Amino acid sequence: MLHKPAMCILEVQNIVAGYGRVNILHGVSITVNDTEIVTVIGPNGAGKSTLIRSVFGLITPREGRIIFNGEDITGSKPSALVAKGLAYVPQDKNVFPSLSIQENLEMGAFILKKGRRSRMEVIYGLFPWMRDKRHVKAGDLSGGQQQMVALGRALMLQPRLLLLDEPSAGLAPNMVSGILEKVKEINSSGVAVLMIEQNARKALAISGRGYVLAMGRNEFEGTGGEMLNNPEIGRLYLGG
Amino acid sequence: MEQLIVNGIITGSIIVLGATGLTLTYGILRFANFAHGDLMTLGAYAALTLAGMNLPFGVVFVIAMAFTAAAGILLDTVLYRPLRKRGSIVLLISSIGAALLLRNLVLIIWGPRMRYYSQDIQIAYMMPFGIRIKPDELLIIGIAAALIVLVHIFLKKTRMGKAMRATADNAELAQIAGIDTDRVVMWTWGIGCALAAAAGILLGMEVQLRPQMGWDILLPLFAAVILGGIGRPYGAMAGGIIIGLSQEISTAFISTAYKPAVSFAVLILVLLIRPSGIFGGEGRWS
Repeated sequence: MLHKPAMCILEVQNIVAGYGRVNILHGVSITVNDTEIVTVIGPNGAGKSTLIRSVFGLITPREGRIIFNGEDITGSKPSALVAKGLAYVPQDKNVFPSLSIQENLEMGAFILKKGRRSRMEVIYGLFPWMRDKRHVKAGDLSGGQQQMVALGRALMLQPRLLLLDEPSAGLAPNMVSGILEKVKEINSSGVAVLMIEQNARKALAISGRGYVLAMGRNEFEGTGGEMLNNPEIGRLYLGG
Repeated sequence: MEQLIVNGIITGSIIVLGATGLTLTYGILRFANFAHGDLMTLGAYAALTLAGMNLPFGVVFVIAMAFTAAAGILLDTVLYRPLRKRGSIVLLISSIGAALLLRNLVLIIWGPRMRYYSQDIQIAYMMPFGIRIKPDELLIIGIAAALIVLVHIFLKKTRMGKAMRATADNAELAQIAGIDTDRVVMWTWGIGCALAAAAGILLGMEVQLRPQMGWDILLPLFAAVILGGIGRPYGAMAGGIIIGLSQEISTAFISTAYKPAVSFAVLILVLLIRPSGIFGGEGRWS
């Protein structure tokens, strides 16, 4: 099989961003290629969520630029970005609790006029258990199941890049591996992934590259393997 | 007693329509729109003018609903949207201003005296158990039931209806999913105000038209909304019937002048015992 050269799908250039008058990111830069999984780790308050929310247009950066698929998207609204091929799964409250699984998926493809049915079949192929439970309200599902519904919703429009904010947060240890397994599967189907993860070891193990963010700045960057084997990163960020 | 129950269902039908519209706008926009009652009045008077043009009843009804929907969307565009970021208290207070504005507009255009759609005297049908019901009253119950079924189908089956429920669940997530929440807000005003107009017309048919009519019924509307759990359309439907019944049945024991006090008492009881409404839970549209 021929490997076409990896293309840069996302380029975050030196962004400064925050809430109110407080800056949380003080010039952060990252890149994601169109075939890889990139994991961002770092202590609480490092600005990981702020970074992802800036990419998705929920926060407008004060400085710097965000390039997606060759286009400057700095300051674009989420609704415009969804149409361009970006999808985002927030850390919590990421399903519509009073809507059924099927309705949650439909909402992921709200902007689609037709072809929703066939996209839904793709999602049911990825998560077969959902098909039988498609009329169950998302609010009645377990945490792990909700996380998968949220992933399914985000995949409805066949995004180029999936942004995940702690997909395994609050899940039982066996579910953590299950979710990360799914992330890997999604990636191999041709979706680039940028994620934040607390379970840093497990996440880096499936990642092509990773970044360490600290105090709103880039601290370290390397391949997943390099980061897992770096003793200092192990001691500081991977829990020994 | 049987007669009072029937009266309660008639009053309840009107309250259900008003309360469902009120709770829809609350569910999406998270603020209590005090102008809702006066939008009812506006719809009722719009129908009066249209009826004066000798249009058929169905046409009058639909045009008045569309007119009030447009008025609601206009009100949102010029007043509420610019204030949305200021929080729900600012919106609530501005809605009281909007209520005053609408009521005085009605006064200026249609005058202060009582008006009737029709001066004809209706002969009541005699039903079993000695119940007497007028043709208009059967129409009121029928129209209210049909509109509620339509709202139900809209919320459960259409793309926009589902998007409204999604936005009520979690507005930020709706935006993240790519739902055009501005359009959802517009639809919510449209449907909420169309229902308000319907409620206003039915109220005008049952009693009479007065510039104060919508404002006076606002308390029972809020009682029904809170009884059913604020922001929950299906709760508001049940709450409306309960309020209608308790108002009418109370007249067997106390003076009819206390009808509004009955809904106030029910409201206070609910707030004391089950502040999240009789069906519990948060503002979920299930």
